[in-house]
Amino acid sequence: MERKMAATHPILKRQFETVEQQKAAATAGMWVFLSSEIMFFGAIFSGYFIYAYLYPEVFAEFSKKLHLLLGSINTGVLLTSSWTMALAVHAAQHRKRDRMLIYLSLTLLLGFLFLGIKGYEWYEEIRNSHFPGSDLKRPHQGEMFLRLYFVMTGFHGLHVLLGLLVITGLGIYTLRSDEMHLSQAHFAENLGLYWHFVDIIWIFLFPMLYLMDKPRLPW
Amino acid sequence: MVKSETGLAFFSYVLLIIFLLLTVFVHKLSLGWVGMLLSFLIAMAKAFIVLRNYMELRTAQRTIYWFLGGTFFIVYVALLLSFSDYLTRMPA
Repeated sequence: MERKMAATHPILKRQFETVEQQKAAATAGMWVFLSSEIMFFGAIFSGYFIYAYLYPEVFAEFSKKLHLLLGSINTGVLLTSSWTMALAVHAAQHRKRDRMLIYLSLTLLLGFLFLGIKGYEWYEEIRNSHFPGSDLKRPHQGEMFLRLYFVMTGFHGLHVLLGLLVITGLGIYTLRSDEMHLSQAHFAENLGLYWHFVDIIWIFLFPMLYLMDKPRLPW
Repeated sequence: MVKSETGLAFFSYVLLIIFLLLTVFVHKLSLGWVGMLLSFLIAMAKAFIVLRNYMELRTAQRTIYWFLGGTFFIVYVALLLSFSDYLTRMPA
């Protein structure tokens, strides 16, 4: 009886026996994707750590030239967006459509604010000729820091932008539908996983790029 | 149930913001390598909070732990191999 009911569920794909099994497969798939992302960022982090180990003085000097206040504000903005995304996922799990839309909109707003602040930082750095290739007299080690800085924040920003596009898509789809479907709740959960992952990447990028200090003992 | 879940989300958020302020405070103390180490330890604590409470790893299936464990092992091997090369190079 249970299987017959499950088999007739409108969102159930034919390769699954129950909706729970389908959801578990989708969640596992999302984690596999995130694992590949960890390896992608892991390779870039590895490169950064090697150069930071080889040229600690120069990396600390160039790190000090970044805007710490804006970096800290941006970290706070992204952490807040993670909180609103967690609330959106909770609302979706309990099929509270309007509440989910409000929290998704807040996440969207905070995500764009993050990109706006990051864009302003990039603009200021480019305006002050603080980008790779802008000064031929700059030491090679400093060039490496700037290259890594722009590559790391650039790839992270791209991930944020992709997340924002998907959030917009889910928001529009939910707005158009009269009621909240189970599939939307499952989609929101996986989207939440992605968004929190992007947040974790920034949690590590912030001390790596903005808080590098000279290699000396405090005493 | 919903109340406690949203309460946990808020509690985690407050903790994350406190950790962020703590990170900046530690940096302002200019502790050198010790400060860097502390910043990364705080970052790890923040990542743990997000993984456990927001990404709901505390209720995840065992398979996901295996995936994550395998991934971090591969990243660890990549870091180890790269570093062992650079650390053992003789100066020119």
